[in-house]
Amino acid sequence: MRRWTAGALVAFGCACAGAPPLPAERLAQAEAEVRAAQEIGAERAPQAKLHLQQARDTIASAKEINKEDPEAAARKLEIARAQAELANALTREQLARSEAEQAHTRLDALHKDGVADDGAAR
Amino acid sequence: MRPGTPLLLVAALCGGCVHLQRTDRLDEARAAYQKALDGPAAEASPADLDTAKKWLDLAEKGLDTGDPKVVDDRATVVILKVQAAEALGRTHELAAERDKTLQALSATRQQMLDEAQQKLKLTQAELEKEKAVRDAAEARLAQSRAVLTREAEIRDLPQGTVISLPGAQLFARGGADLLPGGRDRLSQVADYLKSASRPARVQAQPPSRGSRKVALALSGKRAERVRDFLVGEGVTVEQIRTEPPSRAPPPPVADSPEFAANGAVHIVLEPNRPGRGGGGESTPGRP
Repeated sequence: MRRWTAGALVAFGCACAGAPPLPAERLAQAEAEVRAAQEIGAERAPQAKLHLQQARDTIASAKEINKEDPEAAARKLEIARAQAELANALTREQLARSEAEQAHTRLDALHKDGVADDGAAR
Repeated sequence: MRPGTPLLLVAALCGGCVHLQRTDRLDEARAAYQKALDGPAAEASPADLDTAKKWLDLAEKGLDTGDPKVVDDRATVVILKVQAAEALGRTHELAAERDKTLQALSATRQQMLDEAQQKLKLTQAELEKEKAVRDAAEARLAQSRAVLTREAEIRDLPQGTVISLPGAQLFARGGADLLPGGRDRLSQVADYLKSASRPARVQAQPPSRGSRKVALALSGKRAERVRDFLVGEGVTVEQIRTEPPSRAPPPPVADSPEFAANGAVHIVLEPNRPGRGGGGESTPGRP
């Protein structure tokens, strides 16, 4: 009787192994990257916003297909993470571009007006 | 076994081992990675490109599975990682550009500040020089006034500084020719007027005794003679003019018998007004 029970548990375990949950670590990494991109303002940078939305959609898609194809779902999580990383990088680029432009504007104003301080452009 | 059976078995085996050579997505990932190696990402974000390379290797290995989906998914990750690395490379370039511009901004500000300070120093030096000149002029004016005070009556009135000389010191009685002593006194007056550099007018006060008509005519001549002499001593024509006693009454003077007998000459120096050069003397009411 005990042997029978143990066998049933093994069989159940194998059945569960056939449809594993989404890899928790990969999901967490992808979602963390999405949050990081949101926090630095990806929603305000058009290109970054596009990739951020793609990352969200890809995570949702991974959750959907996990039952039928868990390996594909895991790969999608990697793609989602990379999409969020790209959103993050594009946001930083946008911020750096804005700062560089502001610095140029201040320098131009200083040369043009000869004012001692250009606080308005700061 | 039928003759064709071995051939079918070989074909089936080969079919089972179909080796995937490439996919469009993988080609795209390879090209993107190669392109990134020549861009700013290679220097600015080599670690990110290394990660992209690892994923490219994984994608290449994915060919062994024969599953194009595996290859394409991994290739997609490669492309995204490369794009992120390139964005970071551009970010580094922009940050460097920003820092360079801020340095230029700081240097320009410092240069402008230095120039302003230099200008300020020059202006201060000029002001000090002007002040020294003005102080010297005032000192000369005070000195010449002190000299003049010994010989003439000087009063600071609302209409200006009035220098009054008794007619007897300048002219013979009833005449308009200057006496030698009168020339000396007028020379001192000329020095004073030149130091003051302000407009002045000569008014001759007629003697109160004798014919009024004759006295007025004599006074006019005396005023002209005094003016001409002062001009000869270096007072400019623009600075000095005469004023007939009939038109403007002479400023009040001390009631003196000498003035009554032989008249007087008044030289009225206009008050010092703001914005006009010259000595800072002539405060109305000052004795």
